Amino acid sequence: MTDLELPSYLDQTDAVQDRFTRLKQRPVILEVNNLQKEFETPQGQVVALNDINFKTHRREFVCVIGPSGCGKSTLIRILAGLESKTSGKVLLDGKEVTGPGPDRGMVFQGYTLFPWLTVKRNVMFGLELAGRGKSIAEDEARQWIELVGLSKFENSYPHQLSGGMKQRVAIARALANQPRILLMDEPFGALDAQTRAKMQASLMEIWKNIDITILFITHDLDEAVYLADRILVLKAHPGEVQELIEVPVPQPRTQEQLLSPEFLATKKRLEELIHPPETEVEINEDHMNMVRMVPVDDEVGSVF
Amino acid sequence: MVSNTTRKLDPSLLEAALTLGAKRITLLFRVVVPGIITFLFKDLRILLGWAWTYLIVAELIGTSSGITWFITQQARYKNFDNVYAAIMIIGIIGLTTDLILARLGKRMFPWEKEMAKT
Repeated sequence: MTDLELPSYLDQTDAVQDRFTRLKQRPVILEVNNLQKEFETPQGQVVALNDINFKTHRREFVCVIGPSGCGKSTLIRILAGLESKTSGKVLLDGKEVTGPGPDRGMVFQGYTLFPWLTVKRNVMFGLELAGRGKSIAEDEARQWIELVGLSKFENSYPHQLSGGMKQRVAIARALANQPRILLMDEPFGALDAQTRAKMQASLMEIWKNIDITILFITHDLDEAVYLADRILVLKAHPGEVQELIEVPVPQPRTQEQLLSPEFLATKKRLEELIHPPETEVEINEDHMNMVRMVPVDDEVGSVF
Repeated sequence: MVSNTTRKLDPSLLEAALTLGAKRITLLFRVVVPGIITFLFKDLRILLGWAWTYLIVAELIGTSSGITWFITQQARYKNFDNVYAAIMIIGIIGLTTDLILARLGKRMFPWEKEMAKT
């Protein structure tokens, strides 16, 4: 990858540039101002998030990426209202967010489906709480289940489904409430590579077809570049915004673009931001001596 | 026992319910109660076994009726066939009540993987 001649990730074709201009003219759905989060630990105060500022526009797909421990999960949990913030403001449609609510749908990494409810009843959960009648809720739930392609399984219980299917149900359940924004916390992290690719494609398909803004947390660089309009790169200790990258890969995205020059350029930039060279684990002699104390079967011989 | 079991409930289910618009009361009745009811049922099965054991032990001392009293009395008259029959009855009653509960559990909680097995 280092020898490859890549364009700058900042270069945008006219079509892409035009898309971003239009995107930024759309109304702002979520606005985060000077968000600060501190934890009290026995070792003293730890700043988890420091001065986070960003905006997401309507129907935009924003990925949040960062090294482990940069507070990306904390960030999304604050946005969902599941965790308190120390200072700063989270505005949804210009109104301040105080606690959890159905206007912000959330999909967790663990599937968090209610095991005692069938797929259909799981999707109906939010609709019924919103005061929808049972038959109306049922009809609506069916449509959402169809959207994620699980009509055949509407009467199955979660334990009968595979991981990917469970996550589809979780997405349908969150979307059924018609939230202003869908918050996804590493939703595909527990899935195998093939299922993950399929899920990414179908999430893109859903996102293109309905009016939904998505904030998506991931630690997978490919996933971030493939899905996002813009990528918010965080850095750890303290969790701060490092850069907000506008992905120069044209929409609509396809799997073939994973090897396009713009894609690789963006990925390379992310790589530099997230894994700076100096933090590489150094293998020094002392370490190696420890390792050499472990006996190796001589008959096999070294392959190095 | 109940409060301990309630702690077994996955807190992320509560969080999921909150993001779907659940408030305190709905949280209790639509998530906490159905979430722990299978655990409680399993506890019930275990407790019933204990209860049965304690009953037999308790009957050994200071009762003048009941199945254990019958055993000690018959043993005194050296009617060992009756003694063994009574011991088997204790076993059979214990086993059937447990089986009935297991079947009942399977009926009532079709979503439980472990219960579906038994």
